[in-house]
Amino acid sequence: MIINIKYFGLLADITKKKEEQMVLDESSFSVGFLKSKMESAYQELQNTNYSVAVNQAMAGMDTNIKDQDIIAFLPPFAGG
Amino acid sequence: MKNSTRYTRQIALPEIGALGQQKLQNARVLVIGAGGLGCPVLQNLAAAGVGCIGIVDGDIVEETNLHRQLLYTLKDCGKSKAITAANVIKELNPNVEVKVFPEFFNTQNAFEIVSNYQIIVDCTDTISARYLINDVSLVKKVPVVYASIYKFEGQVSVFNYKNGPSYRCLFPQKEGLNAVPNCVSSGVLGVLPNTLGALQATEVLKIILEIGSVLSGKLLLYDALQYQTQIIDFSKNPREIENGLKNGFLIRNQDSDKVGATLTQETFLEKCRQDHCVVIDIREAYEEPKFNELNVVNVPLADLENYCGTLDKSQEIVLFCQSGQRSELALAYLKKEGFTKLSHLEKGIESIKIHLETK
Repeated sequence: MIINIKYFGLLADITKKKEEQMVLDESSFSVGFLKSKMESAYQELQNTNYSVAVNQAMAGMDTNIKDQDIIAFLPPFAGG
Repeated sequence: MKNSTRYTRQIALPEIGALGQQKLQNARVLVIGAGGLGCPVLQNLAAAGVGCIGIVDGDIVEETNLHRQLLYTLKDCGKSKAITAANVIKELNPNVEVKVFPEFFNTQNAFEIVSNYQIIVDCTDTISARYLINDVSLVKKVPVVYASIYKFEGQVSVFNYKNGPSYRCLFPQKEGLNAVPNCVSSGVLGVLPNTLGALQATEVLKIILEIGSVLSGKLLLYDALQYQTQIIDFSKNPREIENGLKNGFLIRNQDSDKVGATLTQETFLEKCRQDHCVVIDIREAYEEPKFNELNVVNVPLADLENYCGTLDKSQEIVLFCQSGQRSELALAYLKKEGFTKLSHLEKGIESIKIHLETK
């Protein structure tokens, strides 16, 4: 399956990209699974506070991700 | 004011009318932070005729603010932001009653400051202030109109509106010392906070006027470089609401001396010269400006646990970092470890930079 991941704020600096497409063998998995996968790919993510949205709605750790979903990795911004 | 034509063009909108203008006149809005976001929020609320505006900011105007904080001019440098902003918006619209709080919003003054307001506008620049504002607003049952920026991006939302979701529902607080990024200030495009501040002011006016749909349970994302906006929905998380309420009540009920004390610049510098204090610079070794007073040791946050294992729990410890975020976290950590005499420099070494340069 194919998913699209978008990175915001500091997370785009860490991954050095605003978005990427991922091709995965699994046919469905949870946000928690994706999170740990991404945190081993980009280890700095482990020290960052962020939330994950699936198809423009905030998701919990056990929310299911399906083919063609759009995932957003969103950190809080501090600046003002 | 009755015969003034000032508001004619907005009264002409059927959604506002004379009744709406009266609502604005009766409204009491607290703007916390008079920086990049605060300036456009204050300008727009004052111009629209919001009757009473409170301004909270303990900072002073610096030249590096002028590319984005359009209420200030070169001659204001060195002056209080809150007082300067108040003078400018009073001139912009003399009908507005302005209250000034030239201090940083913290656990000790929070409830006193918010007591008379019906809407809080979060224009601060630290994550810890944002949690604090959220928790106080939860207890007081007043909505928070939130915005924040990072480089070319921004976020806007409204929290605790008519019992709606909280900041904590969107971003649950992460435990532990690793949660706060290094606060070396990043760059920002000058127009960005002005755009986001205008969006914040719009939400404030909609709440007062009871028109349209408010960004409650919705996070607006804005990217100036790609010109992309999108809205992310989020819902109420009862556990997070409870965390926020718990913390809010704790702050309201505690004696001020039990709270980890926050230090002003003057008391901080005094403590640095007192032999019985251990002053810990918890920044990384590379961070500037250096601050090598007599009692200062440099122990980066990650090494704090080891270092403090060697200290007596009754030792007086003063913590500081760049902007006060990490030191606040470190203070909470050491408190949990059983240390009793703790304080930290509220806004970090950045806030006394000018002081250092003129020394």
